[in-house]
Amino acid sequence: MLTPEYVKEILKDYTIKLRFHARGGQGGVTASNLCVDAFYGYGVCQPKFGAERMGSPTESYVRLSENPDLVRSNEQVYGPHFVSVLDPSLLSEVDVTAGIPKGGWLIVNTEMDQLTIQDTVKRKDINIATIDATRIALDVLRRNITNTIILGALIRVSHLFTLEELSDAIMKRFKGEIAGKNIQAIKQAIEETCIYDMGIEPDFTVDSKVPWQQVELGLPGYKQLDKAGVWYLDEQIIPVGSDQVNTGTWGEWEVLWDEEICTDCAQCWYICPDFAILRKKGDDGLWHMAGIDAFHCKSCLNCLEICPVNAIDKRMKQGPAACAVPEDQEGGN
Amino acid sequence: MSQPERNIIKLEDILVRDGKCNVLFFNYDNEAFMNTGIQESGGTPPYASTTTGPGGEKIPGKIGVKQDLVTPFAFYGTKSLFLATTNPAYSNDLMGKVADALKSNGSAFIQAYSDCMRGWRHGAESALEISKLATDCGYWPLYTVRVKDGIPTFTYYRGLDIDKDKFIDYLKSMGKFKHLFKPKFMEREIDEIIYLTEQRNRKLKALIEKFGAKKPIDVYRVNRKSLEPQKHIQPGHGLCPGCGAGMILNQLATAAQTVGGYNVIYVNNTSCSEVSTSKDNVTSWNVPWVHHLFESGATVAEAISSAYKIRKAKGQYEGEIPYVIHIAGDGSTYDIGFQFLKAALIRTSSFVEMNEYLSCK
Amino acid sequence: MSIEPMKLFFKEIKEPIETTMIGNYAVAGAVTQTDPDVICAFPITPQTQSVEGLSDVVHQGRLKAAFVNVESELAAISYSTAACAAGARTFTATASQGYLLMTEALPMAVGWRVPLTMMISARAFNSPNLSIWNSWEFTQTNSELGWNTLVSENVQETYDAAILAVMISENSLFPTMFVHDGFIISHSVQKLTLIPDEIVRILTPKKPRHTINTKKPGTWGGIVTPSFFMEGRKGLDEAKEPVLGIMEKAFEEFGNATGRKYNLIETYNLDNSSKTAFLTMGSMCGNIISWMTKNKDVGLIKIRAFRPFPHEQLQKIVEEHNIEKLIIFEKSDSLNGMLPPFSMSIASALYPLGTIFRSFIVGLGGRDVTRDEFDVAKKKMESINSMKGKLYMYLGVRESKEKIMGVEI
Repeated sequence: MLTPEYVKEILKDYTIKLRFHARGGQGGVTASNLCVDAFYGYGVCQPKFGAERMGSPTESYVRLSENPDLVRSNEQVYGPHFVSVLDPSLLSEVDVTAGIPKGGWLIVNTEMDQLTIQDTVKRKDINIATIDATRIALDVLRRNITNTIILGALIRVSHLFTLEELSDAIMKRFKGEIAGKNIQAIKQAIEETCIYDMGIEPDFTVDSKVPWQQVELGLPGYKQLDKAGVWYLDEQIIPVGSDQVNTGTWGEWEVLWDEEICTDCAQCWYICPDFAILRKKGDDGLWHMAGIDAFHCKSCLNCLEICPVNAIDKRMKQGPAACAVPEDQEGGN
Repeated sequence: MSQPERNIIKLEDILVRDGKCNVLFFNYDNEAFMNTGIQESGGTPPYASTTTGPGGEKIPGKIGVKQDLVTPFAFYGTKSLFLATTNPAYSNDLMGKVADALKSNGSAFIQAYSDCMRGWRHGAESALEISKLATDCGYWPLYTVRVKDGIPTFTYYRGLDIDKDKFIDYLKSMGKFKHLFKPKFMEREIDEIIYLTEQRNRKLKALIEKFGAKKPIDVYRVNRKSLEPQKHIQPGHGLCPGCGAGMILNQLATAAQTVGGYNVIYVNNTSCSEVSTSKDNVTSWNVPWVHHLFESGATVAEAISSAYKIRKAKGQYEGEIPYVIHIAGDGSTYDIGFQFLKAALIRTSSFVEMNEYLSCK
Repeated sequence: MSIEPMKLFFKEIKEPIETTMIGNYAVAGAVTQTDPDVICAFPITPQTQSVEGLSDVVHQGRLKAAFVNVESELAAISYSTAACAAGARTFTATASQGYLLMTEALPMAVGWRVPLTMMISARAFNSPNLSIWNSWEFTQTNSELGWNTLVSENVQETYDAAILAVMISENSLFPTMFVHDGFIISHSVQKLTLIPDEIVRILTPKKPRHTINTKKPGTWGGIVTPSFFMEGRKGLDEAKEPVLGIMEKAFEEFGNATGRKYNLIETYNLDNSSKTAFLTMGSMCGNIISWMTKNKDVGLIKIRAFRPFPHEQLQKIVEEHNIEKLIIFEKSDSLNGMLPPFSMSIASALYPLGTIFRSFIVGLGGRDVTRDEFDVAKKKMESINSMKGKLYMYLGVRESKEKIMGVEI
């Protein structure tokens, strides 16, 4: 485990880097902003540049140091020492541990225990911290916004700033009562963070960027692209198209269709923005309701709202939290 | 006063008609520049809060009007046009109108009400409910103008009458009008929104009366189960959950595929639908799709259509000329692309005559 | 809607304030402090928040100004030019495609000598595909029309540039654009120090100038035959001569008031063992300076004033420090078969000296520019000793799925 003194020592001559994974609308960028606001030295926060939409995976990065020349670089962050994941469904969609050096930390908002997380991300050389930020958010903030809460877990394992410093930053950014509630939630998160320390020390002096990773080898080179920049669907370059993109992870609900109640009224077919209502052709030559395409459904729930017989229902995707070390076994680990 | 008569238009009848539209210009109106971050446009309603016209203490949102678009096009002096307003909450009407437009000689412009949960600030699950309310309260009437030989004929489906209670519900349903209710109820501004809408509807009703049809109510009869699921656009695109434009694309593509099969070319102005359906090598389009600039799509669509016509007339192209559909958001329809849209719409409406001179169809 | 980021600008700023914000809001704040009369722009990524922040201060009653939403960038530049010509202090902003659409009207702002200021959040052109990410559109086109151009490296610099642009344009009576790299600076949160309102007021007084007015009626922009056109153009050329001097004076005044002293060109570690220097502008300078903490045998020449181009100052710097080789990094290309655009200005400036250089085209469409590029460019220059052969290369581009062009991994 890192100590505040050690971290301060490192920050004199090196940079500590963070990455945040979230979905559009969950406040990942705000969380990174707060890190820069709360940090006593020099800091920069970059969102993953582009136009993201509600629900699509986003990333943001933070670079911190006491040495202004080191933070002066506008390079993107490749070897983050601490990665925070605001939405656990991202674990299956994005490689959240990409670039984390040995001994780095993965912090996840989840109900899963750390061993499951370790298996999911397939890395045994990084430390893991989990916090059920969603539960705390619903309890204290009454909304499923986990971005400030996860900073509590970050404080606990990184010591990059104190609760007081973060509270100051939050008071500047949020209005009165909301600021207070956020600080309360963060306090709770600091206490409740489950830590799975692998006992591996991170080496902050080494930069773990893979050479030329910004050029993304593996994608087609300029000689393979069409001369006019056109994407043809029947060529080697793109065999499939957006159909292969799993937008079903974007929403927070699982949308369920009850075949028995459904009267095949076809009200939901044409109002789905993601064309996710499946149909099959019957012997009568007409199309009939066949189900919901969970791979693409973003759970906007408009089909549920319009169904006149309640044949469509919803179920929240995340369940209650679990900690790797059971509460009655204190003193181990 | 007798009840106005209904004109039932069956999709099967449309499909066997002889006509063919040169270009269908389709506008999805989410009432701001959503793609670049919710900035005010010519389609933004009065007093709505946007990022470049926020509901502030001094100035409460947009100071201006929501421009009328469909009706004025009927009076530019053109000869053959199909113009209509639509709403994805009334999907048979939308799909019927798209088919009708594609099978009408001359040119066509259809405007669709496009809810935007992110820009208007409400939950995704309310998108349809709000869309329906928009028409039911009189804010977004559904009507059609068919211009033939220069004379417009106005027909309608629903949404002509203002229902004040529903209108207030409509304004309350989304964050973009929130500043009109809290911290204080801004009666003067709310009344003005309703007043301006009433005036627009009043003009519309007068036009329906003056330039009306014998059966002034158009009802499209569409057997939803006979329509093949559309394959023009793949799912997995990047539009927000609950996006009105997504619902519209669903219906637009279904109707277009029913009429034209896969012989359809789409031209898309810079907008949410454009950015979200084409990114690197994960395009959502199974049919040809072209993006040029923010403003020029209407001209590009017309040019593609003309090129095919002349090539066919000269024997350089075999087969049926593709249907061309232009898709644009309100920003590029009301504002930066207006000049291009208006000009292209008027030129293409005269293609009926040009086709004859050039002996091509 | 952006009240929170603009919060600090809603009250009088009496002391320097240290805070963090993104480049775009920093510009919106600085512009607010200069008390603009007219703000007219059309939204385009990645410029949007610079204008949105201004709509907030106007709509909340903090700033009295005509904030006008128009239907296109051509309308925006026309509106802004005219408002400025009618005496209003005017601000506009754009990028890439919008900048191209403005082209027809840009010369008029120069010809009428209006002190208009414009922010550019540098972004690529759509060719062959749409890109909203960073490239240097402003070097690629329109750079010969006569607009003064400043380029900033980070959020503090772009905040300062918004104020300097007003000083420079009003003292030179030429429109001034100030540029920062789109997304990289416009959307990144960095620390900066805000200047007290009173100091900004002292730096940017509103002085009387020529305007469209009824007391001294004039015919603006009328047609001239071959009898007069050349004279009009030579007049502009002559008026341009003192501009670099006016910029230097503005930098001096600004430095005295804030403690931040800028120059037309800034240099780092030029007296190094290899007599080689990187030459570039904008955010890449930060990357190079960080990289130089571990690579002390190379220097950096950072161009701040891109137009007018300070060619005499550049020659002086190269001569004084005996620079033998220049590694030019730029985020634009030209398809003209000779040199990319930024390098063309350098080549013209250094023609009398014959300094050896190569151009590296990097970072197009927002690709990151990193230590890998700096390492490779430096290594390549070591074996280059003449100006023979192809003078530019694209660095950091995939040739195939496995190969990066010109780079052995």
